[in-house]
Amino acid sequence: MSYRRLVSILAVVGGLSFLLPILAAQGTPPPPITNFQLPPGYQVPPADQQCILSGNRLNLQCIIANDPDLKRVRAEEAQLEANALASADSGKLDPYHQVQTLGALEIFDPTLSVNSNVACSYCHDPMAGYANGASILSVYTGGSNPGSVAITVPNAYPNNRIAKRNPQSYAYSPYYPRLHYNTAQADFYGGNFWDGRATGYKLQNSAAEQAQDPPSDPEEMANPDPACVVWKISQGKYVSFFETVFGAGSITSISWPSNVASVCSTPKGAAIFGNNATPLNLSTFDRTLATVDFDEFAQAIAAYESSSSVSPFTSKFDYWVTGVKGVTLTAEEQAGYDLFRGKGSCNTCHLDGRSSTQLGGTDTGAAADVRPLFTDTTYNNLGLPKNVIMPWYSEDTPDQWGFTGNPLGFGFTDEGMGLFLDGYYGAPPDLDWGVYLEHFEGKFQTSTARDAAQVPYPGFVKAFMHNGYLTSLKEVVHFYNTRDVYHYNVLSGSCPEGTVEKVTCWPEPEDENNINTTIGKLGLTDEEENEIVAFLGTLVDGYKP
Amino acid sequence: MLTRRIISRGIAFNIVVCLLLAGPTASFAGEDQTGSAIKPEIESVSDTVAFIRWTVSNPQGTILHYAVVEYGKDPKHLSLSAKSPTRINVSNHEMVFRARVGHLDPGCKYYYRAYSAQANGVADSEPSAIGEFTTREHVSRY
Repeated sequence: MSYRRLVSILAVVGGLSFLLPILAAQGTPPPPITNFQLPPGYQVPPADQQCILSGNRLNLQCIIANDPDLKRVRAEEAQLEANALASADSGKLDPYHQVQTLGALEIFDPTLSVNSNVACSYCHDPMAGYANGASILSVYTGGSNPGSVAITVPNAYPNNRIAKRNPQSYAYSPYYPRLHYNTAQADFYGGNFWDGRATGYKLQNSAAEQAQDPPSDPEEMANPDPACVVWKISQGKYVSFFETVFGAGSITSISWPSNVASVCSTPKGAAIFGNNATPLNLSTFDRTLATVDFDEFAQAIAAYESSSSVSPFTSKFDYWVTGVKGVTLTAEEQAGYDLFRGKGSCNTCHLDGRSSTQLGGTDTGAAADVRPLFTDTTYNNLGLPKNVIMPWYSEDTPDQWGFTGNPLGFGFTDEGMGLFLDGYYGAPPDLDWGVYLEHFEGKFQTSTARDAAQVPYPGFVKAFMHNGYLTSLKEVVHFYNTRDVYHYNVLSGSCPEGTVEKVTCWPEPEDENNINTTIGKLGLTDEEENEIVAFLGTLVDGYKP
Repeated sequence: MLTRRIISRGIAFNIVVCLLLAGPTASFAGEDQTGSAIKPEIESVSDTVAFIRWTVSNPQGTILHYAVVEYGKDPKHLSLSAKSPTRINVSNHEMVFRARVGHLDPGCKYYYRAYSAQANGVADSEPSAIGEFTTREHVSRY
């Protein structure tokens, strides 16, 4: 029996009160961040220098107020929201584009967070391929983003609630099937989120269920009740447009309790709510209306994510594989593509719609799929080291609301899909899945390689993988190539003298279960690594043939 | 899971007495009389981790496969098992399997045999002949 399952049972039997003294105590502290090196060529922006604390940690509130990337993200967000609002108000949209535009309005709307300061796009910057859009966070937090709630406890580190993972891009995510266990393959496919917990079981749409999570995640937008999102839409600029799409009175006919503003401005996890996940006191009928509205809110977001604005299939590769006249790959890109589906084994998981030529494979030369997703949507443990710099590992004491994000502190192990199957978020919707736990501990979803190379400007530092341990595509490919060549039983920051972390030293995996050995020793030269990186550049959308 | 991890860490702290040798070694324990097509090689051995690899004709079947190594310090009791997930490319003629064998004791001789299996647990073939390797002496964790 697992620790979490034991805790769940004890909680049911006797309540959690007897555990509170334990949970309120600090977890295992992270080691000091020593031997810290900035990515090659990166310099901390002058505006951020005042925000660097001792031990290479960030004053997150200072970063939120000053970082130039976050200011850029907010400015883009405001412009895109204004554009969407203008489209909505034009009265010229057909139904197909109405629902997508509604999704855009929701995604770029910061008022939907508990403190009206964080929109979905805050962590999913369009200019960064819908991934983290702030270099400073890629470097100092593993790409994880601060959420809506500041932590005001004196001397607290971190001083803002912050997500436990690097935000996964949602480009092309609506094309992932709902999570399902394929019996013939004995493997999970589909779902959204790094750990697959947005299964799509209820809405039959994983992307929509993904969109419902951050608004209620205490580390992110932190609404205490999903109905608060609906109430905030009712107070905003596009409620009439929402009802144009989903029906007159769908929101405005709800009778809200008199304390709605107070409840909806109190963060999720506040002790005052106890374990009540729906503290808004609504009638049964209004609760049902709000629940339906919240589902439709999410479906509109999924519609936008599947639109040509987010998932357009307009990369150079798309035009090339279509055979558009004049579109050719450079010699370096072509060499990289040959490696991608050959020696590098990349298209074993990042399916490109063609056969592989690794070890004598036969390529017919034809594209079997002219719109490949560059992911098989399965789950793998790549053996990534623990990213010790993530502030999540220090969020182990109660904030001013009595909420503790990570009671285990540095003792927390991110087991990916294992967390989901083992009940970290509550029981999985299909109780039969529990038997597969052993084979999926430590596994994370294979993200699409599309738009992985997209950055807002040259020199931008992008965080890759679930914990942002890798901060360039070169590092990503080098890790795949040499993980098992330069493995050391050390934590990040403690590589032996004479080695260079991420170059000639890969620290021990965070989770040793189910480590995938398709990769780890590919035998690529430095030049071949660069060629694969060049090929990945052809997968960025927005190419003009 | 946490419980298991604590237990495994606890084991790691035990004092293990093995023959201390100058460096890692690897060989087969005897003549291969299994007829198995699997001819594993020791890719690398550190004090606690060994990588074992072999190349065979593509076994087909499920995409997700496991490189399985059964191992132990007594060649008659290979009671431990390491299963490394790997994914096959259905269009390939051959397939490289690599198994990561962790939590080994430093400076110890191990015996092993290897085979691959589909994700549903069905073995692709008979296992290899029994081979052996020796881990390095304890290396400081810096």
